[in-house]
Amino acid sequence: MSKAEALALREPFSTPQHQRDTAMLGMWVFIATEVLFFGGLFVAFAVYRMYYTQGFLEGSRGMTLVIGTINSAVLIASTFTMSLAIHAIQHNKQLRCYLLLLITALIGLVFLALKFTEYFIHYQEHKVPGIWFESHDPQAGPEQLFYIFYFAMTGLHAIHLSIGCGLVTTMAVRTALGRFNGNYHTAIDVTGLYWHFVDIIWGFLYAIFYIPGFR
Amino acid sequence: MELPDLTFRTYLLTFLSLLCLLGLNVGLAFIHMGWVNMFVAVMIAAMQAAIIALFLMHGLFERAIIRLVMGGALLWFLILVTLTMTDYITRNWLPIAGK
Repeated sequence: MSKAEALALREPFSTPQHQRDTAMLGMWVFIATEVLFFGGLFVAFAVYRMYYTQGFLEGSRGMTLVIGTINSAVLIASTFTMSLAIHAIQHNKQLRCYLLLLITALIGLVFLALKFTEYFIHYQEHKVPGIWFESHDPQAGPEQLFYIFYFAMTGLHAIHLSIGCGLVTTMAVRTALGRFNGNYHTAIDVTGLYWHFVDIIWGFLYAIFYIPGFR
Repeated sequence: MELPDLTFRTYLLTFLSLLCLLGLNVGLAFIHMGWVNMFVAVMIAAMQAAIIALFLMHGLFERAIIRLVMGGALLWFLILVTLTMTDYITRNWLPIAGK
């Protein structure tokens, strides 16, 4: 058992492998609950989209398509660097893993910066339900409903990504402190699963909010 | 179970395929097909999700119990979609006296 493994081993696990298997299973179960958490919102969106097709289409046309598309590419890049970080630590390359984790967190911050820029644009266009919403369209009610879904779902996603950025940064610091090596890197693997899942959710958010707005 | 040691090439191909699917999604969005646009976009997002889950999250190489959890999440989500939609889609199919 390596020093890093010995430091990380906790009760009631007898071996690092047992601890690792349990941690991975735990994260997968958590992801399953997240699927249903976001799933409920996606289904609710689908029902209202079915009832208020035109109003939701108007809402989509108000999206900042360029920022949305760049953000999709940005998250795909981050999921790539996260995978490379795990690949690096598997091969005991701590410095490379540390740098890749930092890059991943930075890319996550770029995503958040772009997302909040987009929110600010919506605010300037008076498209924030509950705070400042104006529309002269006959479909104003359903359009407002669209924006409620938009802010709730992308906001929840942004919270998840912020947590992800914190986790990835923590992993980077712990890697720099020598807590992980080729034999023991469970926490990085688990963080990677979470990061990839957050990326998957964005793919669907992009599909339902942005794509119908393209002309 | 240790994570599978995939090669850099696998990760790169996965990354490129995700970018290609994003490009395809944007490209198809400019062809007006009505509600089909969003359906196609969601299907492409599902393909991206499958690539990420199977390769980057190593779902393809995981133990049976983890594949069971993955399948369970998908199954429960499909139950959620099916039961909700069968209700909302069929609400106006039959005339109900007094409604």
